[in-house]
Amino acid sequence: MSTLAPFQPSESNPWDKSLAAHLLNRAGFGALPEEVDQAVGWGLDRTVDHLVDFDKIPDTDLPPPEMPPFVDQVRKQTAGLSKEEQKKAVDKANRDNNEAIDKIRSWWVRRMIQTKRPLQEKMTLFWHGHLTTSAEDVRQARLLLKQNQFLRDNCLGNFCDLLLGISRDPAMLQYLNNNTNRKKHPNENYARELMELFSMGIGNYTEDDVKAAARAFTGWTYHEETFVFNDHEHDHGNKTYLGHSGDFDGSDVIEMILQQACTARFMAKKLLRFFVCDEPSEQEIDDLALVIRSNNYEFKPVLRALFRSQAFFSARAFRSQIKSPVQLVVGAARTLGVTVDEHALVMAMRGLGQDLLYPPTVKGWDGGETWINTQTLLLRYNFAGYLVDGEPSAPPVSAAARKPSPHHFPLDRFGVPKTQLEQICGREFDLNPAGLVDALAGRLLYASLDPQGHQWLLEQAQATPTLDRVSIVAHLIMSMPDYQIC
Amino acid sequence: MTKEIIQTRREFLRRSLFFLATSYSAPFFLTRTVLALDSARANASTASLPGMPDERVLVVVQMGGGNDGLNTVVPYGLDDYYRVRNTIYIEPDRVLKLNDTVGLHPNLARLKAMYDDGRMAIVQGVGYPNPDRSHFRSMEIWHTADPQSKTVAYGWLGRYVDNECPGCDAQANRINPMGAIGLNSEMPLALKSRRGLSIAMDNPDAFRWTPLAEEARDPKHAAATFEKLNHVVTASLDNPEIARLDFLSRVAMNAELSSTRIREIVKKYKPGPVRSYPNSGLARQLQTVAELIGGGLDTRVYYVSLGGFDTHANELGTHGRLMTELSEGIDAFYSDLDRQGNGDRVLTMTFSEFGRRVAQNASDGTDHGTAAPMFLFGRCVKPGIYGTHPDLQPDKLDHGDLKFATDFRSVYSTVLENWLGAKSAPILGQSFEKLAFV
Repeated sequence: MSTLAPFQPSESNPWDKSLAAHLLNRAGFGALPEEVDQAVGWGLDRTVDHLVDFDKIPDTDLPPPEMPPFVDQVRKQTAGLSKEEQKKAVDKANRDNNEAIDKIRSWWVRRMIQTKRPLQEKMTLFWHGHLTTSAEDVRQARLLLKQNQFLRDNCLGNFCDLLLGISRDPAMLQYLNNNTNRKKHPNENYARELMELFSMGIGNYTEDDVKAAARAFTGWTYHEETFVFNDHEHDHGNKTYLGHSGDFDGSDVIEMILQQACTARFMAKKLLRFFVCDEPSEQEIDDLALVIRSNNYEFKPVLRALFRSQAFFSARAFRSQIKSPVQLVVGAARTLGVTVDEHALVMAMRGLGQDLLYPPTVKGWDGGETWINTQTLLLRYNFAGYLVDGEPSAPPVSAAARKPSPHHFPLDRFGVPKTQLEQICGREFDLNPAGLVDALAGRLLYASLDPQGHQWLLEQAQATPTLDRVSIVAHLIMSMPDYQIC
Repeated sequence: MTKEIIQTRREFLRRSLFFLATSYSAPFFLTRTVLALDSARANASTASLPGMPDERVLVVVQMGGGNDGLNTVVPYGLDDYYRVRNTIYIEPDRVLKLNDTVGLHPNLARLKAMYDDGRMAIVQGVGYPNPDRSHFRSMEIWHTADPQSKTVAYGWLGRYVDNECPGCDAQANRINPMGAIGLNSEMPLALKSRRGLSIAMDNPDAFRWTPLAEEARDPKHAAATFEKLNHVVTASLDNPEIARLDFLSRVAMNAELSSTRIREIVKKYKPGPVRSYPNSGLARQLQTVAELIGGGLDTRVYYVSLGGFDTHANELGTHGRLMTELSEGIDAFYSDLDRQGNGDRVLTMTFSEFGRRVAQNASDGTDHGTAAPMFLFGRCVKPGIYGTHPDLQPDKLDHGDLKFATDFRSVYSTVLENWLGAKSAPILGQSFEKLAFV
């Protein structure tokens, strides 16, 4: 029986709060209690459709930030001025671009928090970590925004469109140097990563295939923010690629990639790891690969099938994922309903190991247990504290004049006023300590605590002045291993 | 299913020593090794080998992205170098000459000074058979020391700390969770240890849990609260949720133990009047390492990294800046260590996942290559140049790439046996011919 066959809720395994929370948290970033209740009322199918058919839901009114001009454009425009004036203008253009990149990140985080289409942002994040480009190398904000919009607009579209589009995307062309891939001197970087990391996986092609694909993509470049096919630089010669010969170009290469069975398996494994569990079984990979191929690489029906499947609701899938930094930070902001300067949240994610728009390598982020080590775990617990209280930590311990770490949280931009937290948690604040603990545990963990844990937290709550209770209990819950998984 | 809860740190430490043998279905040989070593250690002294001081430290510097070996140790005496690098070659009169054939990149002046001072060794042409030109695969190979297997989950240094358990006290049944420290918020695979004896730490100041309530910040109170929140559950790990919680709890407890110790250490450390470290990522990490060594931490292995070496385009500028960062960082580090009196205790080794192609590409850069040099620093090294320089002649190349002469595991083996006093074969899977640089 296929693991991708639909899951049927039953008396022994009913569609209840924990299943609903599981679905909402995997398809989004941190469900609110009222959202979980609504999903329970709707049932599984309607909830999945609501998540997947997000184009039926109006998009959040959050237009992207204004982008500054290209630095090269400014340089050209100021060519007539004095050298000093030009340098001033170019320096300003560079600064504006750096600021704009940060604005894009804050805007994206705000979208993740406010969106009524959580799957759209979650899939955009998936693609960002899969078809990677780093702002470290691509410094023009305009290009990064364009790519981010492209991923969002095609996030549940067809893989062929995604691969073709990303092969023509100026930011990608720059990042993997295909803009200088020329007939006389081919540059293999893009061709290699396209196959190794974006579609087929290592071991499914040869070094000769890499060279042939590189030749096929020669002349694919860009000018400002538009793709340009430079025929003069394109190698029209015969190439042998994956066993076929001909005068192939980039789109032919992509077509042949999609004909390989390994491609469907590669994408199946990626999707399973992102949405279901860190170690999908070979059967699950095969079953999802079949769904991908039979849907001709259209991701909307694939995701619909995945979210309805037995694999998705299997015992192995529940509470088995370690939250990514984005999941943790956005989820915390959503469920506590706090308004925080999004730039602070971006910095927090960076400190925890997921710097948006700056993936560490072309492979993106490995995820799973690699998010957690002694340093990042302590930072996660402390982040929760800063979020609910915002007081700077105790003064530094050592006398050594240490240069600030790049993972330094901008503490002055954190800190939620206590009254806001209480409002969000609503009447939970007015409840007795026991009620407060239950309410916060339910909101944050989607489950009740074991009696021992509940008792201990209750004692902490009772020992705390009423004014501080919500933030302190919230922080304690978020400093538990249970809060790190979903 | 009964759940046992480990309440105290002492219990955690005690249990962890034998956890592998009892709860995980570990491969048989590994279980036997662990038990065998534990009983051997129970009888042996804490020193790994007679006469081998326990204070020896290894620092590994990872240069991520594929460092261009030919522009680092420049074969200025070979014509082939200039023939295929018409715009990105280093001019011969700028090269810091080491002999008639090779010299260092001009921005490595401080390292040249160390070389002249007898504190640097160079191993040329380091690589491995059937080289992989994928960043991830090749880096994985260097981290696991296993070019064959693709499913190795632990690193060579992780296996070192698993086998040797430096700083552990078998008689008191105490483990040391800081056998190796990665100086970053990302734990390198090389350090990944089955028994959890490595930690990642970015910054000693950020390396502790900060509870909210003022009174809860009293260290003892904070520790008690932390332990309560993060108690370790030793139930059956078949349930994936329990497996995750177990993993998280262990990391948390390791963090707690380590953070207490590290705070003690940095409190003791008194930085002296020293030429200050440059403002770079590498220098910042090395400064923290120096602080921990100076404060008396008994960690044997530190791992730092420097990225950005993937110079596919406009190589000269980027590579030049990285050379400066490397040179100034290592020099500042050893100045600091010498001031502390620890300069002869510390061996530093640099590596990259591969070198780069001999010929440049059309973007004034180079593509992924193969063999490259490694550096070793410290007063303990036997200075000089080891290994043969790879041939640059076109008919002697491997599809345009250098052929390696020294297997990187020979370098590892030398460091493990001659410096750290550990048996290298169990760690590397077999014996490798050692070199004479230490």
